[in-house]
Amino acid sequence: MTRRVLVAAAVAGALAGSPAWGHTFPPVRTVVLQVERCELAVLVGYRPGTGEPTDRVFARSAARPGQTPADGLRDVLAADALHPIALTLDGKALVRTSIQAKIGIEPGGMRPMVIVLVTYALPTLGGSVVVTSQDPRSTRVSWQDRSHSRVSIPDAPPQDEWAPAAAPFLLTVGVTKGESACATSTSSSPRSVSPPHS
Amino acid sequence: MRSLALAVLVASAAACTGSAPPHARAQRIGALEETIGGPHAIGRVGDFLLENDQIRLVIADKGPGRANLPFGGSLVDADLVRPGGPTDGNDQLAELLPGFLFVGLDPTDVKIISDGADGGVAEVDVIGNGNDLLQMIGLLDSALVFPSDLELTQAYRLHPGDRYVEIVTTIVNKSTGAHPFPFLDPSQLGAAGLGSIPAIASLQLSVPMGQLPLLGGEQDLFAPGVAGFNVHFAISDSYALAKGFPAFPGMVVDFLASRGKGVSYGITVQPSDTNYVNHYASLYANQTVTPYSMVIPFTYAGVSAVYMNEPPAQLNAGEQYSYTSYFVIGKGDVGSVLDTIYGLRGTQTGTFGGQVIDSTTSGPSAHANVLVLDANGNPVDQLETDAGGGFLGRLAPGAYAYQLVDAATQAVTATIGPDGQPTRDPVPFTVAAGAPTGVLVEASTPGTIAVAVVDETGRHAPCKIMLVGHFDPVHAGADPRTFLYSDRLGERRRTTAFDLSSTEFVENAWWTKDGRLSATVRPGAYDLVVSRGPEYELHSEPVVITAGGFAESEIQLERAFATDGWLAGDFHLHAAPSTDSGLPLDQRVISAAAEGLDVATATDHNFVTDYAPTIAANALDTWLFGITGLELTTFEMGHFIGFPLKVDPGSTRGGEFVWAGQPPKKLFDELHNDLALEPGNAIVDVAHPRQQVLGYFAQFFIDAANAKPYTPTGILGVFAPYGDEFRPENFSYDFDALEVITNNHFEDIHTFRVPDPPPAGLPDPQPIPGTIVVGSDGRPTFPGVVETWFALLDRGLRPTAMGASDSHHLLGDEPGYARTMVYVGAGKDKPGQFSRGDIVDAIKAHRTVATNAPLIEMTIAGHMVGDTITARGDVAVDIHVHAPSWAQVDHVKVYQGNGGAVVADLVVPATSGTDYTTTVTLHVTADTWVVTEATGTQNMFPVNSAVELPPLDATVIIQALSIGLDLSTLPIASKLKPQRQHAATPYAITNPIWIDANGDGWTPPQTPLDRRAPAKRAPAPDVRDAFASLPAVSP
Repeated sequence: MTRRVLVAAAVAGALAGSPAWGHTFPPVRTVVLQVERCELAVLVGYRPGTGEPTDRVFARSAARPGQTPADGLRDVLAADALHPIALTLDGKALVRTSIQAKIGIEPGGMRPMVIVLVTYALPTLGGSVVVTSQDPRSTRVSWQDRSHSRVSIPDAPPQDEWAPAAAPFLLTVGVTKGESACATSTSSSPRSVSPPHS
Repeated sequence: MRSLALAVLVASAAACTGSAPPHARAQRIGALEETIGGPHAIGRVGDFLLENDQIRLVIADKGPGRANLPFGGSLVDADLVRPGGPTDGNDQLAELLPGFLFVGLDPTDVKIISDGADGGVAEVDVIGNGNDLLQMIGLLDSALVFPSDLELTQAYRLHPGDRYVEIVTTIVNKSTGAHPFPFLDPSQLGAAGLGSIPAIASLQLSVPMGQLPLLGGEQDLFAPGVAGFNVHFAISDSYALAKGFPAFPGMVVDFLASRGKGVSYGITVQPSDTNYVNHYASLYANQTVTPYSMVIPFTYAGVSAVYMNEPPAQLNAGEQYSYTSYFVIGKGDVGSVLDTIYGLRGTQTGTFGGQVIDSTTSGPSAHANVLVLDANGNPVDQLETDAGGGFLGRLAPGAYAYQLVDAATQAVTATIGPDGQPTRDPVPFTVAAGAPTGVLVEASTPGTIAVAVVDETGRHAPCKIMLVGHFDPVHAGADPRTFLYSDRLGERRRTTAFDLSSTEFVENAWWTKDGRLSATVRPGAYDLVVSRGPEYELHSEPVVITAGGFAESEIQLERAFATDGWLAGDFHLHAAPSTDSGLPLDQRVISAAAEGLDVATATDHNFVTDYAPTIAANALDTWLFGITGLELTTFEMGHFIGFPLKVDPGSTRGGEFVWAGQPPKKLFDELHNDLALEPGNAIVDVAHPRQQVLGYFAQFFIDAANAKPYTPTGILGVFAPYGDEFRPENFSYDFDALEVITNNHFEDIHTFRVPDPPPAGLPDPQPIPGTIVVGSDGRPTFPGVVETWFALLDRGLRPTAMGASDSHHLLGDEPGYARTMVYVGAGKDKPGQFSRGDIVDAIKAHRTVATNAPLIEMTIAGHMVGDTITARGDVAVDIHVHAPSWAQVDHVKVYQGNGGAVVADLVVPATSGTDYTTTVTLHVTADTWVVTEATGTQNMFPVNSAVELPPLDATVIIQALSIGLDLSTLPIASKLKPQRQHAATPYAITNPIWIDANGDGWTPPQTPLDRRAPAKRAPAPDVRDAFASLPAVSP
C-alpha cells in the first residue's frame, strides 16, 4: 500500500470521526491478479460509496429472501464488487471455477466491505489476459506471479504495484512449463456464493 | 526631452510579425517540421499544435513529463509566428499547467475540440485527474483539495488575430456526494496526519487555484508595482506583510509578465470583485489590490505559482466550477505584453514612444530598456528599443516618469533632463487617452576598454577579465541591492566581496576565449583584474574610464603552481538547454575555458547536450575537452549526473528517457546503459546529495551514521515524499561518484554544529556551541555529505568524491568553483594527450581531488589517492598543498576510516598558505582509509563570488507555507540552521588511499552495504493465503 493510499485512508479516518461534516467517499475496488501455473486467482476488495450507495446495499441485502442478513449482504456486495470487472483470455471471457467471499465493516464503521476470491482456469497454451473495468475511476489493478515464469515479464506492468483501470490491464501468459499440461478445472468451493448479478 | 512627430515614432517601432490574415487552427503534430523550435522547445510528434496568425503554442500529449514536471499535457512551447519554421523558432517557455494549490493536472486525454476550420476559435483540451506535483506536500493537497474525486480540464482556446490564448480551467465533482473546499474542516486536519503542525486545528485554510507558469531561465519576471523585475525578493518581502490564513502568503500583482530575447510572456485575468485576492482583500490590505489581482506565493528557477481564483465552498455531486485566465506572448519586452493586456481589458490608453540616441554621437541606442514608473516611482512597464533606437507602447492615461537602463552596461544611464542637464533621476511625462506622447532620449556616452592577455608562454589564452569598482564606505554592510544596483529596474547585479572590510564590487566581467576584449563600460575608476582559474595568480592594475574615453592594457599572466598529470574538470555545468539557465552554449564553453578548466561536462536538466560543436566553433579545442552528459532531474528525488552519453539527434531533448515516478535504480540503469556512449561504462554522479528537496540523500533520509535510509517521523514524515519509488528498500547505492562540494554550498559539506554564539531567540535550553544539532530522533538535523561519504567508505562502497560548480549563469555563479582535479598521468594533461576514456578511468579509480582552488597531493610511500596499499603500524602520509595567493589555506585535517575520526588537525603557517608540505603518521592496526582536507578563510572574491543572496530553490515552497503554518520544527524553517549566505573560501578534499593492514585484501571496517543489489521488499502474500486468513465476517 502506498503512502498515497495511507493519506487517503487517514483523510477518510478523519472524516469518519465527525460524520456531521457530510463528506461522501466514492467506492473503492482493488483487483489483484495472481497468476499461477494452471489457474488465475483473483482477489477483489470492494467498498461501496458512503452515504446513499451504502444505504442501497443494505436495502438490497435485506430484501433477499431465505438468507441470513450476513449472507445477503455478502452476496450483494460480491455482486457489486465483480459486476464491472471483466476478464478475457485472447478476447474470450474467462470462466470462473470457484468464488468465495467474506465481508466486514471498514474501520470507523462508515460502510461495509467485501473480499472476493475468484479462480479461473488457465489453459496450457496461455494467451493475453485482459482486465477491464466499467468503473475505472474506483478500480485499481495489480498482479503477482506464482506461475513459475508463465508471465512475460518484459511486457507486464510493474509487479505488486497498483495501476489505474482507466485502460485495459494486459498480461501475456505463456505456455505451461513442466511435465504435465493443465487440466480444465470444474471444481467449485463449498463456500461459494451465489452467482453474482447486478 | 524633445517632442517628435508621432509618425516617426510609429514607423521606428513598427511590429514585424502577424502579416497573415487572421485565422486559428489546431492539429496533432505529425512531423518535427511542424513544431515551434527554440532554446526550450520540447514539442514533438504526437503533441498538439495550436496556432493563429500571431502566435504558436504546443500542448504536450498525455504521458510522463519530459523536462520539468512529472506529468504530460502541459503547455510546453510558445512563441510568436516566425517565417522560418522550427529553425527560426524562439520558444523560451519551460511549461505552464493549472495549479490547484499544489495539485497538478495528470492527463488521461488530450484532444482537439475545435480545429478552427470554420474560421473561428481553435481549441485543445487537456482532461485528467489531480495529482501531487510535490509529494512532500501531498498530505496538505489531500486534506484541502482531495483531488481523487475531481475531474480536471484545462481548455486552451485561441481566437484568430490574438496574441494570447484563453485558458478555461474546470473542475468537476465526480463523486456521488458533496465535495467541500477545503475538503477537511480544520478540526479534522490533525487526524488526517497533519497533527504534527502546531495549532493546525484552529487554522482556517483556503484552496487557491490558478496557473503554474514555468517561464524559463531566459525570462526575467516582471510585476508592476513594488516588484518590477525584483519579483523573487519582493515575494519574500511580502511575507512580512502577510496577515495569516485563510489568505495564502504571497505578493499581490495586477499581472505577471517577463522579458527575454525576442519573446516575452504574461498572465492576466478578467476583473472580479470575488476572485481569490479580492475575497480576502482585508488580509492583503497592505498591498495594492485591483479587480485583476492575483497572488504569487513563491517563485524559483523560473517556476511560479499564480493563484487567481478559489472554488465555491462546496461542489455538489456532478457540479462543476470554471475559471478563466489568459497567457500572453510578447515580442521580448514587458511593453508588448502589456499592450495586449490593455486590449484584453478594454482599457483606454494613449501611446508613449520615441527614440534613444547617444548624446555624443547621436547614433541610435539599440536594445536599451526604457523603464516606465508610476507616480509612486514603481515600475509599471518596460519597453525595449529596436535597432534604430525606437520604442513604442501603450499606457493608461496618467502621470509617469521614465528611466533608461543601457543595454551594454545594464545600469541606469544618465539622460538629458528637462533642464538640459544629464540626470539619472526619472524624467516625468504624461499620457492622455487616445493621444501620443513622444520623447527623444539622449543617453550619456559610455567608455570603452580594450585588453589583451597572454599566459606565461605568450599564448593568447582564455581568461576572465573584470572591472572591480569601489563603493562609498558608508554603505559597508548594507544590502548591495539598496545602493549598488536596482533589481526593480532590471539592472545587472554587481557582486560584492560580502565582507565588511571591503568596498569592492564587480562592475562587469567578461569570459574571453583568447584573452582579447573590447567592451563598452560605465565610466569610472576601477581595478582591472584578470584571472585564469586557480592555477594562475591574479593580475590587477588601476584603470580610469571616462565618458567617451578609451583605456587599454596588455597583460601577461603568472602561473601559480604546476599541475603535471592533473586535469581540471567541471562535471556539472548548465546552459540554455536547461530550463533554469539562459546562458548560450558559446558563453558556457568560453567561460569554462577562461576559468582554467580542461574538461567541461554538459549536464543540462533532462537534456543531453554535446559541447563539441560549440568548442570547435570557438576554436577552443586546444584548451577545452567537452564530454556529453545529462543531469537527470527529478522533481523531488534528487539530481543524477551521467556521462559520457550519446546524443540522439531524433529527440528534441537529445535522448529519450523517463524520470518521473521511477525508483533510483531505474534512473541509474538508464544512465549506465540506455543513454551511455558505451553501455556499462558511464559514470553516475549524485549531484548535491544533501541539498534540501533536490538532493538524493536528503529526500531518502539517509542516516549519516550508517548511510542507510530511514523512515522519518513527526513533521518530517508529514513533509516526506510518499510514492512507492521512495520506499527505503528502493534506495540504490549503484552510483559511481557523488559531489562532496557543489558550488559554494559549504553548508552541506559537513554536519551542522551549533555556531558560537548560537542565534538569538532560541527556546531554552540553549544549545551548546560546537555540538551537532540533532532532531527529536537523535539524528543530525543537517547531516553532511562528507560524513555520509565516510559512512559509505566504512561500509565498503567507493563512490568517488567530486567537486562541481552546478553553474547556471556566469557572474555570481562562476563555472569551475568547485571543480574536480583528475589525475590522468604525468605528461598526459595536455590537449591531445588524454582521451575521454582516461578521464572516466581516473574517476572510477578515485584519482581525483574535489576543490574550489587548492590542490592536495596526498601519497603514502609514493602511492596516490585511489590506491590500495598494504601497510601496518606507523604509516607516513605525505601531504603537499598548492594554492594561488588569492586562495590560501590555513588548516589541514586528516581523517581515518571507521568513523572518519580526525587524526591530525594542523594549522598552516601564514607563510605556507600557497605551498604547504607535511607528513602525518598513522598507527594502523586494521584495514582503514585516509582522506585529507584543506581549508582557508581567505575571501576568494572577485574570482569566486560570495553567496550574497538567499539561494533560489524548491525550499521556497516550504518557506512560503511556513509563513502561515508553524513549521518551525521542520529543519529548513527552523532558526538553528546553517548559514546559506557567506563568502567563498578555499576548500579541497582528497579521495582516499585504502590501507590493507594484513595483506589479505581490504575489508571494510563496518558491515558492508551491497552496491549492486538493493534490498528487495518482501513479496506480496499469496492471495489465497490472504483470503483464508480472514474470518467469514469481520467485526
